[in-house]
Amino acid sequence: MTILQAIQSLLSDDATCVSNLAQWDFGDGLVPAIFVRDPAPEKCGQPLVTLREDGGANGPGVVINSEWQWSGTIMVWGNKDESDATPNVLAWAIARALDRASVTVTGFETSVLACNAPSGLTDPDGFPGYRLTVAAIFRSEV
Amino acid sequence: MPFQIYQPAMAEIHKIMQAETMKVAAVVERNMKKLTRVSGRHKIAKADRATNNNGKTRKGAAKEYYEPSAPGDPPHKQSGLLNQSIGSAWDAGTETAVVGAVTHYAGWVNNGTRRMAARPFARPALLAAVAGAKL
Repeated sequence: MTILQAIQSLLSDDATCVSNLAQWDFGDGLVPAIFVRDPAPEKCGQPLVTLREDGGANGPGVVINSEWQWSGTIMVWGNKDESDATPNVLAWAIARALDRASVTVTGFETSVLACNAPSGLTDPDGFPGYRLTVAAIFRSEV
Repeated sequence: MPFQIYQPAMAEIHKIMQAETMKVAAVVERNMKKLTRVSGRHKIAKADRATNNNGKTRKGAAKEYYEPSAPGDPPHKQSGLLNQSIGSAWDAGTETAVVGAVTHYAGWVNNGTRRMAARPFARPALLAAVAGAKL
């Protein structure tokens, strides 16, 4: 399981997140709209969440000796015809669900996530959005 | 045991802290500029331009095109405005160094939008600075 899939799973288990998210069919029926790709499909309704790893072409995170400093970004997009109240609630629910949550990645000791408070951002088409950054430090298993 | 730091010494400590923080900010700023410097403009060879029936290049045929960077990678330079708008400053109120780009669309490029994938350049620049990696 990758870190993004672990985060996706953590959010799917959070009642507040699930109740505020739109649904999307990934092939196995309707599930909360949490995407590990960016951008989310055009046809998907809002609110939705996209997860991505920071680092781009250089790969996710930074490896320093036996430590792997990982960081990712979570975007929450709301409906442009509605207020940003729902995405706001959702963004804070995500922050609460992820901050200090444990994640396990193969080959590394279990780590604890740190999630920043959400910051607001509206896209040029008027979709209200919130951005959260998540970070973790993984140490190699001895 | 509590100890006192006299005002002149405190001012000197602040000055050193500011200088050291601004050094790190300068590295992040330099990284951000490097990441947004790669041009996405490509020239179209004369032979590949649209031609008339007589084989001559059609008037107004495009001489170059812009190729956006891959989603998740830093943005390719188009006009250079984003690159030029990157800067750093010292915020005396919060005693922090601020690094960023001031163009109105910088946030949309860096964070993505509902319909466009992000081309992050700020966080990769910070991560590289933390790791001491050269870009």
